[in-house]
Amino acid sequence: MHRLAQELRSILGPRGLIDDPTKLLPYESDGLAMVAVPAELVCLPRDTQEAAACLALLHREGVPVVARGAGTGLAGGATPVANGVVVSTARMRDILEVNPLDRFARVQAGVVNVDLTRAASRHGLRYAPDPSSQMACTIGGNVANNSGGPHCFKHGATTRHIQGLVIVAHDGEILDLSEPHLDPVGYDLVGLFVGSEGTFGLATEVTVKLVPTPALDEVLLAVFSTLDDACDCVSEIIASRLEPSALEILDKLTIEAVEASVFAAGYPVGAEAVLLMEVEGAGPEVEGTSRAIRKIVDRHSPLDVRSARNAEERRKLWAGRKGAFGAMGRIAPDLYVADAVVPRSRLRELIRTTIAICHERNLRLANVFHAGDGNLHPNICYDRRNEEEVARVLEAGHLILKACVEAGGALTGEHGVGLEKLEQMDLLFAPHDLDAMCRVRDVWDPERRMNPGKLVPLRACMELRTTRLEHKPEGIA
Amino acid sequence: MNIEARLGEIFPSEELQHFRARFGLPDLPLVAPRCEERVADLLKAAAQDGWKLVVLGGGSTFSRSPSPARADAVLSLAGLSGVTAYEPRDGTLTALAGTTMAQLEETVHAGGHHLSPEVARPEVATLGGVVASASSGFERLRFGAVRENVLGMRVALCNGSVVKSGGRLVKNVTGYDLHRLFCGSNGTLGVICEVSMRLYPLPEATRLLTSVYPRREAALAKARESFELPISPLAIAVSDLADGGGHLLEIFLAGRSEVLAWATEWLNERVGDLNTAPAESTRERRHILRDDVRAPLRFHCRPSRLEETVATIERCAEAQGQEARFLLNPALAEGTARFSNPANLEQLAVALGGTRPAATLLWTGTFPAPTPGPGRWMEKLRTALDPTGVFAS
Repeated sequence: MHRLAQELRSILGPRGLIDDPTKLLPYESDGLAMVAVPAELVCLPRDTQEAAACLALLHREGVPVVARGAGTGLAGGATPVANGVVVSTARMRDILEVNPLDRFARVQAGVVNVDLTRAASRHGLRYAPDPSSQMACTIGGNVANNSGGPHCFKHGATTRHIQGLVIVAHDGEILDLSEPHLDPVGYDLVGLFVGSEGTFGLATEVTVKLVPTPALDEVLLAVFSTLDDACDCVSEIIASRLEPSALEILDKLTIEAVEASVFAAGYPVGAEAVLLMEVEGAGPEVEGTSRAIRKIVDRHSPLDVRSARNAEERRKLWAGRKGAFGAMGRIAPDLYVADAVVPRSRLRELIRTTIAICHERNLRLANVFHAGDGNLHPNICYDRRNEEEVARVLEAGHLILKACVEAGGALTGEHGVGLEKLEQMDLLFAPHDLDAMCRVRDVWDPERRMNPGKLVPLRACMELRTTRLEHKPEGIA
Repeated sequence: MNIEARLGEIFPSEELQHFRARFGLPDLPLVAPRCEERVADLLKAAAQDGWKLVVLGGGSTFSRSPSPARADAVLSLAGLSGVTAYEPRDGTLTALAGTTMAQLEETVHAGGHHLSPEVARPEVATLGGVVASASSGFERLRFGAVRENVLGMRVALCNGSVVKSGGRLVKNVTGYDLHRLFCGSNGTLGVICEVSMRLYPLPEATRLLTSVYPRREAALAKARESFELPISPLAIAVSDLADGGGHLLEIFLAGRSEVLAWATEWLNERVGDLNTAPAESTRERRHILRDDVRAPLRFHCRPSRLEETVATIERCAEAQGQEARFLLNPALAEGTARFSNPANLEQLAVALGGTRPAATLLWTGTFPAPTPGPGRWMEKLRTALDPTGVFAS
């Protein structure tokens, strides 16, 4: 590694490489804190050319590569691999172009989501995908995971907003797909790349679609005495074909955590659930949709329903939702955030199942989730130093995913498969489905050095230097 | 053994037909399997015997595609028809690839949903064909491109294995989005057998606002002012009227009645006096715009380059004694062009290509060649998914 470090430093400069063990510590895991693998080297290229030179060298040396944005991912997608190198986009933070006329922006992959939104807002535009971690997560990371966020209910996930990419392939080849096209010329390489979790290559520049800031938005808060009522209310809103821009549920434990934190939003402590809703558009459109939503809410025995009176109240209500994960640091040292998706007509049933699974294993559970998309986020509280508790958490996570898949759901709505859900891919896909994925992966990375051991279980395929979950629930091979 | 005899061994007679020469293809044996397994049987036989297959949906847009260099048989998906699951409470639809768009529209309209794209000849166009050709609809401005509404699919690969990508959920990032790759692949990577789509609320009412301007630039300028409308129209079109009759701006609105009334007032204040078309005329114009797929040239570019692109096409056409008429979708910066002498467009295509326009030009019967870098990656993908070249291209 010493010789490799020297060569990498000659490409990246003294600030472009981290090999000091102390400084490498923050890179040993991402948001999936229960899995940690020491990073041996971290490369910090400044632009596409440096990244390409770096990947070309790592290709010649046969070294595995793990791409990393801000490390906010929750599925272990950025967890280092043994004998591998982490390539971070942390120094690629330039907004290259904001084009209000053609409504797109070109940014380097390390640009933080909220910084892009701020830059676009000067032109009355915005980048719609808004993950809860948007204050820290990067556009490149969003591309890798096809990230979502509360407003993806109306505007769609990241893939719907990506118009172009510059990709550095496994061997350092630069593939420039940055020009925004209405439709792909030939196969949709950009659409295929989004959500590939760093296994196809490294996106260094991203062209994103910008959409107008809504003329009006109304934020409604409905308070319920049971979580069932909140879930049923959402299912009825969906069945009634109404189109708010966001539908988010927070349960009692989450409300308490938020209200005790700096993100306190004025949610009523003591309520079993709140439903946070946003409607955006033109005046009569917003009024009509809000009126119809309120009628549905009223049928589900709300304790209260109110509309934010001004921009500051709207901001606070959203800050509470987006700060929920951070706020939960008050109630447990660690949090396991599952990410299953279920049919929206079956929210109540699957939430009940989730609660029962955690209750049976004596685990504290907080639910805060994108109800409108059927995207559950059961947050299981634990302490990673307690091995027995970690085993129970993983078992509960596995059973929750299994129940969701059996109900017609999927393993992940926005966090990605990463390491965390690798073993559960078999629940959703048959061997030949996975084989087709392998075939496409091998086109991009025939040596399987890009983020090895993530996303697709490579059963029969020879895999290089994979990492595995340190703790596996019983019953998982 | 010739191909007909071999097919006769594998398929029952009701699944075997004859394809009469059209779309630049000769007379060929046609197989219309009635289930996925039969599709797989045909693919396995093709791989074994070295046949090249042309995959055909309803054929509604097939004439736009280039003719393959060689084809031994046609695989029609017409027999693979039916709704697998319409889930009105979830707003999703799953159907077999050979189901016509008209049949699907009827199904989901009954549940208060709209299926996008709204394409030409829905009674002929099939779901699989629409997705394979990535045919976006008349109302794309409001509902997005077809690839953005595909939630998942089942695809038969060249070796006969039927694989799944995505699912039936509105949000799902499990595994690679292989369905994005098959969407728009024109049957060159696999056979789309079943597709799941996201649905939208069926608008309560529609309204068409129109105005005629003497100059195209003025119509486009007014169209741009309408982009600021805080609700998304179904479509905004600027078309050249016949015999120098000016340039028609059309804005199609959809939604609740009170929203349409408000939007009409907003547009009249900001854009100028617009006429509200009668309901019959609205339907007729919607069909005319929807069916505009036979124009020999389609193009798209950056919005800021639309006028420059139109001027370039017009200039090249004039230089060859041709008169060009355009139908433009300025909000998406795409359009079509028809020419006064449609029998003689080859020279025009060459001349236009020579101007290196800042636009993608799609002439009937050709696909634009991807630039070398991406083209090489596309070829690698095609080779990986169809190594023996079962799918004619």
